[in-house]
Amino acid sequence: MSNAAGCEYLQEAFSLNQLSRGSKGVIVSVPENPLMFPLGLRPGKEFQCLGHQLFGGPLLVKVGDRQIALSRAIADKIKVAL
Amino acid sequence: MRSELVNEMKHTVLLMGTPNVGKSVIFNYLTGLNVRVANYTGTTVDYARGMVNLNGRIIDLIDVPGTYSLCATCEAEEVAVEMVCGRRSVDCNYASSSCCAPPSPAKKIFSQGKENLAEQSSVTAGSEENKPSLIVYVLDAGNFEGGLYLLLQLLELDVPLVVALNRGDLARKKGYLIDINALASALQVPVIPTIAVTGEGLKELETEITEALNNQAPNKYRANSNLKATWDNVENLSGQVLRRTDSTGNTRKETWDQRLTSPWPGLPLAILILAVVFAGVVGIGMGLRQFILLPLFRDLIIPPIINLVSMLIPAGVIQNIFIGEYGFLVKGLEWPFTLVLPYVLSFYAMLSLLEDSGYLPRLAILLDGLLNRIGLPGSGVIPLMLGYGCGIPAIMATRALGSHKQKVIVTILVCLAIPCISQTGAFISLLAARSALVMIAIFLFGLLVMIVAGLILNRYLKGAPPDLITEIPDLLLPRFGVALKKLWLRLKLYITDGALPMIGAVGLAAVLYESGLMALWGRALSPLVTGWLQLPEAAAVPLALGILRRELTVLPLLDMELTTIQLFTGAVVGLFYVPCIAIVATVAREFKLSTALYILFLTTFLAFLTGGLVSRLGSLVF
Repeated sequence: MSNAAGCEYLQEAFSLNQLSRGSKGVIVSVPENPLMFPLGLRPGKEFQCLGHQLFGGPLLVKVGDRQIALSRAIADKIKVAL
Repeated sequence: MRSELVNEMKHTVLLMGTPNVGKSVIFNYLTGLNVRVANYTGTTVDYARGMVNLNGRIIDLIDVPGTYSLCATCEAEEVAVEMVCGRRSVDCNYASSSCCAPPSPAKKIFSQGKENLAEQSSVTAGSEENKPSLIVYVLDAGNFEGGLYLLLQLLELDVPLVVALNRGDLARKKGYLIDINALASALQVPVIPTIAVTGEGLKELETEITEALNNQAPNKYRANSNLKATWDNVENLSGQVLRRTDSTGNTRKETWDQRLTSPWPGLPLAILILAVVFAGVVGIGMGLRQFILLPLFRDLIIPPIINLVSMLIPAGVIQNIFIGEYGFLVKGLEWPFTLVLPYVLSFYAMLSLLEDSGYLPRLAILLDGLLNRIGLPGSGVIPLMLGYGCGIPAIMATRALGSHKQKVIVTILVCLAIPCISQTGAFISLLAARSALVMIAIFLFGLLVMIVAGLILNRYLKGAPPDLITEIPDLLLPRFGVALKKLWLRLKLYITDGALPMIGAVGLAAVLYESGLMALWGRALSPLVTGWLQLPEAAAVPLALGILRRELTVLPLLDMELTTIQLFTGAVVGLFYVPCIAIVATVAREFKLSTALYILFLTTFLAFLTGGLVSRLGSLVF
């Protein structure tokens, strides 16, 4: 499902880290990390960006109705489409 | 199949699930034991086991730390994987498209065939008898998909399984309805709805566990679902059994949640909340001391003891050991029960509000960027906060952190500059009477040293920078009953593990004091104490006692006539000095003996170094 669907967006994909508070989108791809999928960060999932923390702190995203905090380095590797 | 064996074996039942779903609450209910519970991931960092008598059958119930998959990402999760797979960690195959689905490692280990022996020889031996009789899987109804993956992974093992579908109340509020029958028939396992915090459904769960263990035709309880553990299957299954209704979700709660987790107004609110907590700990503690515990002990309990002892024992050294200067029936009761206990109660009351509301993880992400500078992820704030209660649970809680470097940093900071609540109680008594400013100064000084130490450690310890990925739990209203129960447990734990050793240490001090050994020790340390720290010779006493317990580095200073600078010097030395013998033992167990000795040396050296500098600087300024 998800990977194939993700490819259609690929050209216009942003990194999750680039988004600002309030923007919504769909996850296209995630880096290899054992926590990504269980926390709901899977290709094809819709999300809402809840904004960055100060001092280089993490990015908060809402996926489904779960809130996930991600360091910017990881958020950089998550590709999304708006 | 091997039912004859099953009947004779003591049954091992594993309680498993993703983090923060309420496993420990169910464990406490079933065993009558009391393991720590809180509203954030990673509260249980090691397995807890308890014997349960279920309708005459003794089972060994194990509360396994939460994990998202059979693919550990920290030490606490490794414990979980080891419990079920019989070895430390599974090799995650990241190359496979479904992320880290392990190639059913446990199936190999538990299969009866010998063909896998060569492959798994080091782990197969003995693991057959370690095989659990049953897994009780706690599935979070409010976060259904997240828990299904691990469930499917566990169903691939050859172990019977019962599902407790927990937190249905929260799920309903979020607008989820789960078709329990459809779930049970899709997975071919019994599913019991429960609400662990209120006890709902737990009787039924007990019955189902008994039945699963008794079952002569184990097939019904066997994990014979054909569903492979893939995320596609998880999503399909969730689509089949989960219905969405209108969320009765509370928009006010969401607004507050956003306020608490956005830098503005989240950061000012965090400072406000921490200030309220600090004021609460000090204020409630002082109130308890002034109006309840001090009158109780000073007027009602201690005078009759003094009368009795002076009647029974003639005046002299022996009588003094009981009721003299360090008489352990006087100071040994006054210190633990009127100086420390009030703050133990007030601290844990406030902490339990922070823990159960789910505020701590929110604080963690607000502070993540700052804590990164000292090499820690935001979640490092949780063990640091626990350290203000007692260093031992704080050091244990570092297991939920991602790397060895992070564990070491938190441990050193806790040992060095975080006063435990007993010591805080002593500080308040010692300093607050003189000046509240001096008291606040000592905490800020500790914080400053923590930051400097953290910056240095981060620079020189090897290890990757922290990478945060964490789930923020729902904001919940703390339950009064749960908080009260936690406080009661703390009280009991304090009496056995805090007050009794303190009475013993004071008794030892009385003997040393009355026998004149303490004076010898004082003279021996005189160059250091009077020369370098510019304190009276008697201040060598707390340096001896402080090795045993942290508050004893401070309490003996109470009765000495000290200037404000001397008080501050004494407090600084006390703060950085040896982190009590129980903590040294904990560090040695969690790391290595050499680490513990290194920390011991480091803290003691820093205590005297900063103490002397503070004393000299102070006399220059004032």
